[in-house]
Amino acid sequence: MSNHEPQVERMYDKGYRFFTPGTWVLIGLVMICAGVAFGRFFFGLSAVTNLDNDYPWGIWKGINIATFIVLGAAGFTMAFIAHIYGHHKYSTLSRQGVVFGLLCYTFAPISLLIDLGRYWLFWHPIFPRWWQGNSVLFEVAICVMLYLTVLLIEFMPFVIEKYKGKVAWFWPLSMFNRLTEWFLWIADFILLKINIPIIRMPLLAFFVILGVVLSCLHQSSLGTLMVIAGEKLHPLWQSPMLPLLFLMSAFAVGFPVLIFVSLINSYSFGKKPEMKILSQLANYTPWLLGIYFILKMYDLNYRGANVYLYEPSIQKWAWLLEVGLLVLALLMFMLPKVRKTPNWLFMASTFAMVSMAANRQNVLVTAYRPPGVEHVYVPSTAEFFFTVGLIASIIVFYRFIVIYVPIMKKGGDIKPQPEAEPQPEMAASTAGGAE
Amino acid sequence: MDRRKFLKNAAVTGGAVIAGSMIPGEAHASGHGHDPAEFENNYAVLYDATKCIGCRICELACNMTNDLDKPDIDFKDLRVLAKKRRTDETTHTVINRFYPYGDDARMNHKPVFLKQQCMHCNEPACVSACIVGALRKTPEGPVLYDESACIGCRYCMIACPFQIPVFEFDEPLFPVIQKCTLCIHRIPDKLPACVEACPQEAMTFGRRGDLLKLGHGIIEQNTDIYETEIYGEHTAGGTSWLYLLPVPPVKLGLLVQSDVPAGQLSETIQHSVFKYFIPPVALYIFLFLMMFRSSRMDNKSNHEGEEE
Repeated sequence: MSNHEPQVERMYDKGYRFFTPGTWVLIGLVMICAGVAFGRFFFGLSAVTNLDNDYPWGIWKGINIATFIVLGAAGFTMAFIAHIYGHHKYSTLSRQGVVFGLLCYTFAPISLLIDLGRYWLFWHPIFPRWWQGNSVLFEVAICVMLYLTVLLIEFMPFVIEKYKGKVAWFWPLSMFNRLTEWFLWIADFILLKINIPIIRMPLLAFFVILGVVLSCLHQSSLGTLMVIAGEKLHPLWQSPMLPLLFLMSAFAVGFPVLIFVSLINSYSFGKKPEMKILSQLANYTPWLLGIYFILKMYDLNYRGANVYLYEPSIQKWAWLLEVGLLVLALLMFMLPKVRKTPNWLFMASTFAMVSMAANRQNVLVTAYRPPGVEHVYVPSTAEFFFTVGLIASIIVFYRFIVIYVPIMKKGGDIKPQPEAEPQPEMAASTAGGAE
Repeated sequence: MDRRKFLKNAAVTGGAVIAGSMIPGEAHASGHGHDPAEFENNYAVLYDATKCIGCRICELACNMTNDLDKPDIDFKDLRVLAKKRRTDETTHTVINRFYPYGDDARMNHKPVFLKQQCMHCNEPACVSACIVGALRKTPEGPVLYDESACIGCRYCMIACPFQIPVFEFDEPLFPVIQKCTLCIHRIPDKLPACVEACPQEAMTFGRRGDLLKLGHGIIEQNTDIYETEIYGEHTAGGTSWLYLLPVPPVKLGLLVQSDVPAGQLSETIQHSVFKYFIPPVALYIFLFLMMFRSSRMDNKSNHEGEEE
């Protein structure tokens, strides 16, 4: 892997700064999030959410957790194609995947902490005393926790590359300079410097593989999660194939997410879209989306659940929206013109992402309709804005990381950069990013 | 589509496609498959819906013995029966009124009342779902909750096919799951509060095996009154609450019809994927070999000076 370290740079050196008017707006949204959290921690879940005994799970599970996790699939799909399958031309993009995945997998558990009733016991599933091997949720929790660790490990090399030997925190964190230095040195030694004999791979390689295995496990288990709800889940979705469908959709959405993130990055940092490599990535997507679509349709027909498309229900429309977007994305990705044009590609990727997000929200929330319950769950304003705030947090932290850690590919600038001359001292003194 | 057919199809697809593709042989790998005789000595209650008059005294008794919150509307007020209710923080059992005979002139809109509470399933979905094992099936029969383990994820509420567990959504710090305990704090010295309080003696407390015999005896002698099957004998894998019903269960809002425990399918999938950790380990080895191969090819091309 080390032979193929991509040519990367951090955006700070190109003169970009973290705080812009846009960043402040996003931080404002994050603050709303904090307000909702305050309400929840002092007045209980019912004060801010529309959850009740009939609908115990809402959009904080459907979007904040299930959707974030499926979009985080960008991390493992890119790691697979770049490092395991060995297409090293995708290494730079893989960095963006790791960072985006890391943020998705960080904010999903943060949301869970607020959603958990007895959040101060969140650590229970970690210890064998409370292990419950029959629980699908237990499997998901353990795999997500482990995978988050793996993502942090995969992220370390980027930090090490830039900051090892050059750690200079701003005051008052500067007292941790030596500690951070030690930490980076040890991480570097363990992950990258030790080359395992015979196979000649650094230890990091094993974590990359572990990440893919853990992802496959919990992406599919997230599907198994709702199987236990049985007939309480609308038959358009309830299926023993759910784990397979969830896994396939995670495979399929990984590349579109990457394309989406990469195009936004290129746009906001004044770079030329990396169309050559993105088009190559987009070539895989119609196949993956197609397999997912065929599986989904086959499953629906096999169970005979297609009759529910002719019955009036909210669920029917949710299903049509989800599948409509999927078909749209699939058709668009099949056209060579779409795969070669940045704007079309961006649109197609967005449709694919929204379709998967809708699928997760549908399976965990919309499809859940307990018997004999007349009212319908609609998320409260606070729930909605909390979710918006979390998405804003992901964007803010992504920007922070891209600015201070070398993630983006070098070159390809199309417009003049804000400040051409580099300021190495300034850069080092304000730099954060090291854990 | 018929429910049983749906579930059967479901099991076939799931078993074949997911489990079958991952490991050969044995698709049924779950902890289920209990012998019904195992549950014969469990504490159980036989409830006769034809005797119930919907007086709500059982609700009051439940509230008092469990020391629950006071409801907004007093337990004496029978007007609440106009609406379908579910278990909540004020009572772990509720009575609902149904008019299963509809326009049948001979029955003249005669209502049938149905008591609902935790069914104490033999193979409970909530126990299968609970992430930390806070819910467990005791050998005596009741399904009990341990709040010291619970993290408040509410997955048990998603899993329960009878919509029983209650969560304190208005409690910021120490919310707990509430549900019927079969009055484990009273037995065996005293009867469960609802059973004892019932003025109609609509409930009989005892061992599951004995109550099944008793129930079938009652049905045999009164075939014109009762449905031939005891609801709960096989439903959802069998439950500790056994219902003698005058009409088919669906007409009383008892939608759970399957004899398969609700947690069985997901456990089968789960245990197939993790069978002796073979599938994950096999995947790991496969990916490792793939990576090894690609890195070997890179090294070769590096040595030949052909790096891209």
